[in-house]
Amino acid sequence: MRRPVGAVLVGLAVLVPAAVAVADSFNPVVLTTTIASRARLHKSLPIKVTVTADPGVLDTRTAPLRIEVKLASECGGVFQYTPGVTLLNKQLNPQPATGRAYSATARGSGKPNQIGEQTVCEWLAEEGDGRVFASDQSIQVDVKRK
Amino acid sequence: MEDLRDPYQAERLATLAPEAYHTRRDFLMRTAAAAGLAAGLGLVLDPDTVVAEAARRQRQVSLPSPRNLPIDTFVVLMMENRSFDHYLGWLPGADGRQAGLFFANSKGQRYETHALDFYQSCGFLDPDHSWDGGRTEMDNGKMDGFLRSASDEFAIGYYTEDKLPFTPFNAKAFTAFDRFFCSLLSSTYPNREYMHAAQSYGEMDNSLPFNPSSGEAGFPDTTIFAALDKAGVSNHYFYTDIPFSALWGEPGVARSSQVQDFYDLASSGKLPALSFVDPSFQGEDQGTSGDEHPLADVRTGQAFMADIVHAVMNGPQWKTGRIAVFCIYDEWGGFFDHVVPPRVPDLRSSTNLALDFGQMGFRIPAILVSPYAREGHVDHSIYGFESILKMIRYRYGLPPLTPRDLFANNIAAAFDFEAEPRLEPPALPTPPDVMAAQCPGTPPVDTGGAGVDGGALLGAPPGTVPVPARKPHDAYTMVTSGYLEYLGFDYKPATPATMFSHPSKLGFAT
Repeated sequence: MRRPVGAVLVGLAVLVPAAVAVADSFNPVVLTTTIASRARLHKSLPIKVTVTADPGVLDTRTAPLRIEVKLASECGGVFQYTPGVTLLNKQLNPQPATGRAYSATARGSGKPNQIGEQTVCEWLAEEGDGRVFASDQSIQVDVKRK
Repeated sequence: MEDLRDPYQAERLATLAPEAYHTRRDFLMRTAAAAGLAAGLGLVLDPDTVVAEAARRQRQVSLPSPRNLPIDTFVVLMMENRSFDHYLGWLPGADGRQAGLFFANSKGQRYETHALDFYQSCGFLDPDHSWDGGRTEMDNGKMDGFLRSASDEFAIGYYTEDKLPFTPFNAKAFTAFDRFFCSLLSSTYPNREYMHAAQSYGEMDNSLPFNPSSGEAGFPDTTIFAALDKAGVSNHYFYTDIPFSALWGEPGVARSSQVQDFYDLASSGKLPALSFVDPSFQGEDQGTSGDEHPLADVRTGQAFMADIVHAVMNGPQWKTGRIAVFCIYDEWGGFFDHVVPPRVPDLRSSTNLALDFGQMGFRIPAILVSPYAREGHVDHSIYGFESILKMIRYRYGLPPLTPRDLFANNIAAAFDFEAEPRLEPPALPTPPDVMAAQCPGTPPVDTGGAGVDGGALLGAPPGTVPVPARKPHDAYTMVTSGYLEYLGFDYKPATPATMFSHPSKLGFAT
């Protein structure tokens, strides 16, 4: 029977550096996420998200960009209406410069408040109207009691 | 041989051969590299963390290159006017809600969501699914306005698993989506325009691009069809009665033919790279259309969907594994849903919600049918119609149509390309081709002069008493305005013989 990787280290939440992903013309914005696959209930779960974008692709934004991440049983369509634990909700620094390729990294953490498999719900959105330039719901974290 | 890309195998190897330090060292360094980490970090970080990171990254970048993507034939079947919670809120593993929700009308009277035990909504309003109505229903994210728009309590009814004759089986046999939003918080035309072109050309409603005095007859052809033509990739649009492709004028009509051609091409293994298929729209006001749009008997549209899916599954192209059918609905139809749709980049974005074309609409039922679709799976990623366009573009190397499909998530990520394709199609039901009698008291359906025996879609059952008509489907304005005639399109009402591949079983519902 297959045993999940890291079962002996349940709850470990180690941030690891991620390479900067390269955006391309087909996927002009890429979110590269570093987070442990297992976490412990009520213990800090760090996360790091690197945003990369093709030159000029984010020029249409009308407000500063934020990276918004929640750990949730179900991701909503938007950050605000997704019930879950906030892992990251920060304005990106630096902000994209007009016509330039872009890369920025944000870090955060949160304490899972329920056990079980949960989804890392990520949005790259502009402040104000919350317009979403990229999203990802493909990463799962298994939260254990111990 | 152990596959080090598989974290389970990697752990097993590490457990069984702890003495192989150098092997492990190599493994960790290579795995760290796969994870996009500096190789040396593989030796200082916890191995499980490194492996887990590699696995996550593999999931995120596992899409085959466009040339190697094992799908080259796409079918998009777009029905009408149903929301996710209304149709699939019961689906195991999905974020759905049905019973126990309450909505207040504009008088403050509260109503509870309720199971529907009928199929044809005679006597009820067509729930509000307009630009403004959708914003009332969304209510700035509270999602509580479904009875404060121009709708009655039918809008908060839902179908349980046992009621619909095909969609539940289809969803459980393949992959359903619970974050698939229609592209625009508005009605049929603009959403179908987004499906074809990733924009509605600034149209907020079901307006026709038709002004004979100025010579305007259709939008500029910036569709996925035109893009595929330019790349030399085959494509076609199949209508049942009214061709939405005509919204792009003569080029749109030129790439269109009746759905019987689809059945023929499917059975002969000659479906083009892209097929859009539409049901019959006429008869909405009598409850007899084949598109599931209220007041229609939904069983008719379900039978049509089954016919299309079976035609593909039984055709030679299924045996190649290289085909995908997207069974989707054009918009939510005014029916309740509980998930707030996102705002996304658009050609016509506005910070003013009342003017924002980047506001996506509510969730719709959406199912991926393909040999590469996971069985009984629910995909939770955010998609819209433009996500399908993005996959087609990805496969055939096409540039983005608009910012919509540029920024959209590629729905190719929902496929399981690492698994063997299921070349033996699952056993799905073939619902009887139930055609409801038209709603009591409505005027006779336009049969185009055909008799019932000659294949009229529906004749008025004996004893029908005519009463004032409800509004026909807005697609019918393409007929009544003279638009289709202007384009040289010979409109004919749908008949059982033109709608189904095997109309002999057609019968009236009781």
